[in-house]
Amino acid sequence: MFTQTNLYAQQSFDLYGNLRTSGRQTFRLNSLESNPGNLSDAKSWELSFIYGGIFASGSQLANDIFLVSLSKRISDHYLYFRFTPGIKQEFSANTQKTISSGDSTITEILSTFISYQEKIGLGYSLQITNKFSAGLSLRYFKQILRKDDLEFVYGENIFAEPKTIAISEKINFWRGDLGINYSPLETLSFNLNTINLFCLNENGNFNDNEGLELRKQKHLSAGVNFMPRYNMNIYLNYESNNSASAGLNYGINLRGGKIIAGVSAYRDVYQNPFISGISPSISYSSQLFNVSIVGVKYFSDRNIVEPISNLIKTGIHNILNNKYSKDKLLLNINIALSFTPEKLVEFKDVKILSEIYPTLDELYTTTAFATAKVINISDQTVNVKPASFIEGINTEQIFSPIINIAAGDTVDVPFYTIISDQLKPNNKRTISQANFYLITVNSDYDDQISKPILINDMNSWDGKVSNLRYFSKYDYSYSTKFAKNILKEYKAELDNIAEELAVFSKIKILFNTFVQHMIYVSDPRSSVEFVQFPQETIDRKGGDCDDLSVAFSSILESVGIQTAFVDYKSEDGISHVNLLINTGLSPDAASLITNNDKKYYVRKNSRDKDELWIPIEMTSLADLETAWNVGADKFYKEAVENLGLAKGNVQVIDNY
Amino acid sequence: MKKINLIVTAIILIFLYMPSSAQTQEFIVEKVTGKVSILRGTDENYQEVKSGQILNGTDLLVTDENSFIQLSRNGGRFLLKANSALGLNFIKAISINDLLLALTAEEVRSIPKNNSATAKNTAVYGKKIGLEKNNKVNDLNFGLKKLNGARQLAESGYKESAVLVAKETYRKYPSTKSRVNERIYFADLLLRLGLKNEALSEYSDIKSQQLTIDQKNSLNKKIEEVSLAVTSDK
Repeated sequence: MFTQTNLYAQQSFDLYGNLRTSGRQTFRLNSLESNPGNLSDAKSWELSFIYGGIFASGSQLANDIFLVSLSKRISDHYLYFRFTPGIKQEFSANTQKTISSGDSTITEILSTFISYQEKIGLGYSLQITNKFSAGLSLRYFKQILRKDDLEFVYGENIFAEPKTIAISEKINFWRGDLGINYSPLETLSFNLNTINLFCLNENGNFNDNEGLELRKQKHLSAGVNFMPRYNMNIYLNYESNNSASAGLNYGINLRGGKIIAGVSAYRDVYQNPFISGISPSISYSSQLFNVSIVGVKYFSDRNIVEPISNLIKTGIHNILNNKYSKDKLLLNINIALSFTPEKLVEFKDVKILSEIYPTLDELYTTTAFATAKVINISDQTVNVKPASFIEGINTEQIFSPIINIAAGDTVDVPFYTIISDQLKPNNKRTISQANFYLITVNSDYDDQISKPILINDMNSWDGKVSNLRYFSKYDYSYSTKFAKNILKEYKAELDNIAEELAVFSKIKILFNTFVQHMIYVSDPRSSVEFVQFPQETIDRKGGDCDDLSVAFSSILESVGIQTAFVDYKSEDGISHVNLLINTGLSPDAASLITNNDKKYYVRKNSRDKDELWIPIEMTSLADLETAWNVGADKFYKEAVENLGLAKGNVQVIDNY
Repeated sequence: MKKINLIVTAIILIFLYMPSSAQTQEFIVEKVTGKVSILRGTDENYQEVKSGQILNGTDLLVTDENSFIQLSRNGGRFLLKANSALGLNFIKAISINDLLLALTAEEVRSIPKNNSATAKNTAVYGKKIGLEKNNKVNDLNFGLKKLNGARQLAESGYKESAVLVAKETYRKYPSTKSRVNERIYFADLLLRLGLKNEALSEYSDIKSQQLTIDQKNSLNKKIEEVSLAVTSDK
């Protein structure tokens, strides 16, 4: 989850909502300034606390609690409350008044004190669709104007010594705004918000001092947020009074969390210079908490001493960000009070479909090793990202394709895996744990379940002839070397052979050399099927029909001769395997190799040309002619005459 | 010659029941006229057939000009006319469902399109030299003999087997595909078996051959009629 530091322009100046992603975020934007439509994905109660320092004149630092907030998401609704003692701006002015009466002169210092405060804020947001949310905010403001004046006391003289009295006026009002967010992509979002949409005054105006009241011009704020690459975020925000802000953030993953550094610049139409200030920030986010430090540095002098008439003339548009605002440094801490994300989907059951056979690793990227029944317990359609992690063969979570589940539906979710090359087991079968996860909008998972799973050794085979090819191509480089060394010895013979017969001659030479020292050896008694890799068969000088077929297929394929495994199924469930080999000859040239049309099988190649394939019985270890006769006899009887291919009793499985 | 043909036809007409299981078929040669040879199992050489000899299912019978052979099995008789070739295991009844399965398997006997292994072998060994080809296999006449054998199977009531033999012959002896009349015969056979789609596909394929005007007209008419029948079946 990527968060960003975000500073909104002028009226939507936002020092609290600076933890933001371009899409959804674990922690809510702790802000009503920037966008009331934002949402959090966390179901937890969230507590937020912001402590800040304002750099006053000289090196003086005024500390204050800026903000305390509490929020909670319930289904698609989000409620938010905040107390903001730190959002205030105060002004004071002293006026010296001298009154002369006869011989006596009285000088009084009269003070004017103005305070603007935002006291509390309430927010409500609604997730309307996965891509669209809207929200409403209400903020309570308080303004105080206290002025000293002279009261004249009548006495023996016409006016006696004057007495200073304080005249105090208060204006409390509620400000309401609406905002919407639209995220068409995970990496792109737009927002549109009102500024001062409506204000409800509790108690009138400042009498004769209206110029000192907070200005409440209505504006719109529009923004775009984009992630051009993972961990990088840029944003632009524009207000209809020509204020604007822009920022860039970059994050790096660290210990399960993320560190983000960023900088924002903003333009406030009521401040100088054109770029009024910048805001660097750095934060660290984890699932449970977020800490950030945000600074604000203004480019103009903030130690302003000027007549109060200037304040009356320009007014205060934003309590937190105006031409009198000082540089700031804020420490923002968000804490999840409970750590349960909202659960949208859950497992009903997980079924392991297959033990893990490490040599068949490619298979598990296209064929599910497990399937889960997953129910959508929410009232909305949910995109589920299934993931799994098998201890011992995975180094990280493996994600399966995203599945869309309608509200209330239960669907079968397949799980695929990728076996890490570094972790491939050798000669030991082990029982491991497969952990399954369902991830929806939450950065954490919605549900998790574990099941034991058997991880076989490298030579174990699931008994499916279609998977023998994984053994055959396991180490092509060895087979290539083996084949080329043999063919090299027969170079002269091959050079003088007719071009059409080149492939057939190579098959013959390779077979006759390969079987020279081979003997047929059954698999050891075992509960699992065992297949040797080509090098093992050659080194051990033997094997059973699977081993010999795998090895010779690998040798031929390694020099570009196509092969296919022929799987003969019997009623007792015991399969026999031999090979079909492509001679590359067309049916018209069949007589170059045989007088008997039962000894070959015609198949179309990828260019729609018919080619002759010859069946070879790999346990017949005399010579090619014998192995071919035995293979052809079996193939013609079982596959062709008895319709084995049509009925599925005989299967041809290409090795590619 | 005419007399011989008449006798042969008469014998075919009195063709009797043959058991359907062909797994371990044994045939006794009752009569041989002219030159008849067999190719046994996976042998490479032909042998001459003699009267009284016992043949089995894996044998391929081949008759020359003016030759025929009469076989018996379990009291049933089968006669193979002149200029024919037939694998004895095909003398069996198969169900229409099995035929459909076999025809489907015919369609999928191609290797997968994504198998590009043929392309990766760029090495060329050998040189272009003239090669003597055997006068039986890949010979057009031999293919036609096999089609004759298939035709006799059909005429003897083994229409499904006949279709399979014809299909295999067209695969193994591609030059026989240009014999339009033979092909139309086997396409008609598919139609008679109620396999309209398969027949239609075959008729359409035959259209790509060089045809006489009469053949073209006849084919177009058949295609139109079968298309209409296929549409009305839907």
